[in-house]
Amino acid sequence: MSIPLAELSNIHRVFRQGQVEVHALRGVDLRIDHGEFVSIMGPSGSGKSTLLNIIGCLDRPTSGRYLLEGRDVVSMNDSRLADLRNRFIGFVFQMFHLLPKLTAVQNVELPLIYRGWPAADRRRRAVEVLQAVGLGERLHHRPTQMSGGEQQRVAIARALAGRPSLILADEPTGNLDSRNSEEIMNLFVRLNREQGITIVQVTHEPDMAQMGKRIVYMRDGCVVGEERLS
Amino acid sequence: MPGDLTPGPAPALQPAAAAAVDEPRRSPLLAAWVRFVYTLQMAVTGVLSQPLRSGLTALSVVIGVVTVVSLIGIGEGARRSVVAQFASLGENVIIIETLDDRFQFEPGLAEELVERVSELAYATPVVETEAAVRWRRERGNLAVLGVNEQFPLIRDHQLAAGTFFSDLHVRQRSRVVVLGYNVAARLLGGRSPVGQTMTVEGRTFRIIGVLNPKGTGQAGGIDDMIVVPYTVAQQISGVRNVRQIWAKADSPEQADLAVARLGRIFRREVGLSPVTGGGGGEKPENPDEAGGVAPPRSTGSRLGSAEELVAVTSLNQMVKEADRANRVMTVMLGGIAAVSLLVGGIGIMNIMLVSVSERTSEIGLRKALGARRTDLLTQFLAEAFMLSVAGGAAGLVLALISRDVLGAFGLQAVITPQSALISLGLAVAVGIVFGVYPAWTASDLPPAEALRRK
Repeated sequence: MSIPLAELSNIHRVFRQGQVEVHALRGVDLRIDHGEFVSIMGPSGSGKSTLLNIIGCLDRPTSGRYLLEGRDVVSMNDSRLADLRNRFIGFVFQMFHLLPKLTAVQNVELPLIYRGWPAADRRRRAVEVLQAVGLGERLHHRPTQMSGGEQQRVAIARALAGRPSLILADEPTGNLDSRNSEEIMNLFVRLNREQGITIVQVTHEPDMAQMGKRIVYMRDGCVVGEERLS
Repeated sequence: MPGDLTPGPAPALQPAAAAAVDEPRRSPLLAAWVRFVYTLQMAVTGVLSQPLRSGLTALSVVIGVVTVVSLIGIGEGARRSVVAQFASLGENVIIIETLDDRFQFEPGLAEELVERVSELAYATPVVETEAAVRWRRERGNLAVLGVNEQFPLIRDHQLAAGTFFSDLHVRQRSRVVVLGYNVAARLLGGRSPVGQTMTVEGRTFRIIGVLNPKGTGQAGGIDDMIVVPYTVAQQISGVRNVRQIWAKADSPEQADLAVARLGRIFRREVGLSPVTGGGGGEKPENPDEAGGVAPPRSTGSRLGSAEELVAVTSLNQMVKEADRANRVMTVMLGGIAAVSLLVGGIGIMNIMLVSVSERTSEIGLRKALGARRTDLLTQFLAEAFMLSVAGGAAGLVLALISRDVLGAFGLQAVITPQSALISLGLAVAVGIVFGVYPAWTASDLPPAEALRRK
């Protein structure tokens, strides 16, 4: 494929906390192609999450170049970035980040609302996606009435609702038991294999990383190694 | 259950590449409308989900609006009662009075002024004195007003019973008396006194009429006076000359003209007076003013300028000035009260800041999912707007109630549509102004940072 999905060159990210400067990323180069399933691994503080945030346009690099499907993201203003996230990227978080007062369907509808879909359309799509992740019976439950695995599947349905090219998952199984973790990872694998959705996940767990196609190792804000899995 | 996709109604998940084809083109206007409506729904939910907190915030606006409306209302009430007092003295009335005891008017001057100043329709000399009065077994001292037959026309004064005295009564010094309303009520206890007699300074007077009430404290207490022909009042007081003349013009414009012309006449009369220094720099007089007026009798030897001796005052001007002074007062009261609205605004800002910091992670999530800055600004501003409108509306209702309470304590407050609208507008403006900062803060957070907080 000629144009990579994401192409990062020499990305730096410096956080300032008072007088102290923390270099979270020190010149990261990374290319992610369409259809990949990348796992980013590394010890705490190695900059994995910061890198994922930058890929997801949730954060801006202090310096460096980042092209998302050929578009220069660094120069975009906030509302263009919001639209970009809305159309191209689905997020899955370790803490699920579901809104507790909303039902499963209402949570899944959120990205479609910001895309401006009328109520009937987004309701239909939300139900569709929830059924696809196996939560057809749980449409009107609130997060507190669901298990962790179910909550994470609602979050995945939310990420899928807008038909993204890219799903970014920050330790998606970090709060789940091994059985639920496996189910979630299987879901990712199938989404990647059957629908060609590119997946980038941050994980601590080698087992989970092994389920992808490529592992990127990080340490001290730098990419220190790569491993392609068959 | 197995961790893979359920087969179900499976065309649901199509390859991502199909997304652009699959999604129908929607008008951007519709999309913006959908977002806007949703944002407003979120704002309503935000306000309603914390009823106590929202209520307390709105309360600070309520207090502000009640204070503004009530204080403006009290100011407006005072203004209206002052204007009403002046209005009860009659429209287009001009009062001519001497400011110096040594300079007094011939009673005949009233009639002459009407002849010479064409803008004047009526005029009466005014003699004020006091007399011992007896009616049956009742005795007492009463204020006596001596005027001519034109008095009711000048003061727009109707009679409750009987008639006013006539030109003939005045010329013949008839002993007739018209009673002020309170005098009639007090002395005669409701029975019609017309046709009966009473004793004034030992002489018998025939009661021919009773004046309508003008209300307490108004029109110089006319309700507590008795009115007799000025010729008779001169006899009672033993003073021939008068210190006041009341005149009336037909319209406000004519009243203004008459005031100017009277001023010129008196400057010249005083100027002609042998004992004063010439009145200084007189303009040439109108020929019609040149006819002989009996010069005001001067008993003293050193008289000042006309302005120091004779005051020609139009009640219209006094009403205007009193009105203006009271308006200034009302604006000041309203301004002071507006400070309490400011406090309400700070209350709103405080609550919005708390609400923003509580929802930081939600804000981050919404931004991650595609909420733009404007969506969040709209949401938080709408919350502030709703709180201030609700507070403002409740404040208006309370202000209406407090107006009646104040009224029960004798304090007249007037709530006009303008003062209601102004304070409601102020409340809303305060809500928006103080809502902007928290809303700005909320929308400014980078999503990655907002998501980290909990």
